[in-house]
Amino acid sequence: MEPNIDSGFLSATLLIFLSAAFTNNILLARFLGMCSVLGVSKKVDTSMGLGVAVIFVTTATSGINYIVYNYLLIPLELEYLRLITFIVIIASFVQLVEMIVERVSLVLYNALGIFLPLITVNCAILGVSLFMIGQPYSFLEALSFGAGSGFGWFLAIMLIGGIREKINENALPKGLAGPGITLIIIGIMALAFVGFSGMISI
Amino acid sequence: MLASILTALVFLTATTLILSLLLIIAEKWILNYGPCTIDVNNGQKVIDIQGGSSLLNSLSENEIFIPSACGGRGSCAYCKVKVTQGGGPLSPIEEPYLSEQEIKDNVRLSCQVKVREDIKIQIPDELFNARLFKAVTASKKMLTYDIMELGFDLVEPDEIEFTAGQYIQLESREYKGADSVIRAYSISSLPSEKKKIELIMRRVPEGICTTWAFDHLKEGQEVSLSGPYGDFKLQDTDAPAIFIAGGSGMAPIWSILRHMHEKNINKKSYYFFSGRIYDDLFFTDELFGLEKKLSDFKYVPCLTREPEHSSWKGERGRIPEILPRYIPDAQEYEAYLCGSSALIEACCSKLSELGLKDEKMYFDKFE
Amino acid sequence: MKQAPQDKRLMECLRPSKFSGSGFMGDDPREMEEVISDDASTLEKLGITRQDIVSSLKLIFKKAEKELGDPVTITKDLTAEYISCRGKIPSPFPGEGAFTKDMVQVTSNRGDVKFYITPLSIHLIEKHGFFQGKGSPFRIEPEYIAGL
Repeated sequence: MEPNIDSGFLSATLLIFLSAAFTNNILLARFLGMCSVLGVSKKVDTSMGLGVAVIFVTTATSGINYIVYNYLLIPLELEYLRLITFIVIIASFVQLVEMIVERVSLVLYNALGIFLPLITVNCAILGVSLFMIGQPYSFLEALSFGAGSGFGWFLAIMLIGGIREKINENALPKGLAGPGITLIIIGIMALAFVGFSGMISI
Repeated sequence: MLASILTALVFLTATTLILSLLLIIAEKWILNYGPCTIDVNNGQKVIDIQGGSSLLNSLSENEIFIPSACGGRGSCAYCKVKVTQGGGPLSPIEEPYLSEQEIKDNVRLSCQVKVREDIKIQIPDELFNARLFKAVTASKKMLTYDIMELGFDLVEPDEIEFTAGQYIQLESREYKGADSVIRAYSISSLPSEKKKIELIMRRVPEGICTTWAFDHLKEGQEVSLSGPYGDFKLQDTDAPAIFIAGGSGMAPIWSILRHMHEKNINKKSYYFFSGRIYDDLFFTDELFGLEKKLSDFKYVPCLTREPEHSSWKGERGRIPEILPRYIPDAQEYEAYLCGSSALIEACCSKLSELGLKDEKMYFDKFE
Repeated sequence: MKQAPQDKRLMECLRPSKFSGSGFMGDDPREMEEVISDDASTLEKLGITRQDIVSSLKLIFKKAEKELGDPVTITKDLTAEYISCRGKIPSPFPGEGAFTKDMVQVTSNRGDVKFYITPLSIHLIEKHGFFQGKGSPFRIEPEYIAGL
């Protein structure tokens, strides 16, 4: 039987995912979540752990925040409280997930859970929720936007981690070592990502 | 206007309250592992505890003291125990400290194992006897220029049961930026002197615990120590014995030799002490005195750097070179060695050459 | 700055701890990566490799260890002496296990201590190129070793 899915709807969701990941990369186009990138991107494996944790958290929190915004804040006419509400929701959600992961699977906890405290208060995740409500998305599209943004952040930190692993082996001028050279790399990568801009508009 | 301020206030308070409540309930519910039991050595002791804390802590709260030096951070790998059931998966912190054989045998670092369910463990019997002691520093006596005898009077509990040759773990206090640490020292006092503990300590350059003991510890000061630990002890046989130790390695042997005298244990025995110069020797009169008190004992101090024209009449040279002159055939002997691995290895290979069997060599290695 | 849990652990282990009274960084204000890269460029300038240094340190250590505490002459005015210490010290890099605390003290003939060689410091140089921070009692100056 032919699946009866609206192909327009599917492609819209996919487009939102792609544009969130590439044209509007949360790290390289919006420069959010910089602090954890500078701190954690020294190695690919730690970058990967944090990146995957971010994908999960952005997806889940944009879903939750979508519901809270549309079904609580708007009816109560409290849209201006979105910032503080989102912060509190994200922070509690991350704490809750950390507890659940620790209880359910130690293996998962050791691989991902240990990174969760780092993103309890992370501007990239808050940013995703705030950008998401700025657009007339449906719930699924909101989820897709969250996942895409998280994936874009994951991609960026993985690339930076890989480059930094190579750079660490070389001697650098004193002032440039560490965060300095990382910021320059991020700048150059952002230039490359600018090439994507305008390809898809959301 | 007022109404909208009120809704905002109510909304914010309600959200934060609900979320905090949710987190508190979650913590109580999700992180509550409920009562668990720890079965030690197949039912030899069964402990009921609240789950959630580390195996090391749960055991020490129930008076089973597993040796540990790092305080549960998973970096010293002293606190190994066999967990036969319910330990959960190996964490990446533990893995590098365990050999393949140990992983097969379910050996775990007890500080990294969280008690989340009923658990079964195997520990050496001697750990059952280990206790945590409060003691008061009774004496500090310099035996040589860098070796000190430390005496403690036990306060709580005020008596210790141990076998000559075992060791305790001493906890240093914080001083000048150095953390409180735990280090192992062999007991040099006699098992019959139940109310005190004596140790022999050599000053270690940059050593946290020895610097504390030499420079900061005052007589009368309270310390904590735990023990006894270790399986270095005199075997219950008639075989003649060779003791080898230098410097502070004399501690367990000093205890064993006097214990032999006290209990009238008669066996042929030699003690080879390794030092550099005459000033490295200590308890010399007492040890030569033991030659008369024990039935067939000989003390052989060996000095490697004593100036040639000095009045020293004893042996000059290293133990492996001197051994064959006293013991041309070591087949019947048992050997007890205490000291650095380099000293032990050098002496062991010589002893094997002289016919001593590997399984008859007993070590208290400095590791 | 936010740090990965693994890096945080490493930093904690590099500072004065229950195992190393003065820490592996001494009073060096630089980051560990900088210490490593600075020493690496010193070595490059001197034209010797890390492996050269490691093997000569190992050689001195073995020689002194064999003498079980008797001083051995290593150059015209340097002697090395093996000191046995009870216990093991874990590497500050997580998961590399523990090393015996035995050490070799290298002294000049005038009697002042030049540096110490420990199994752990050899390991840190060999595996990570980490000579330890300035002010750490167990730092080994690459320039000094190269001069030997």
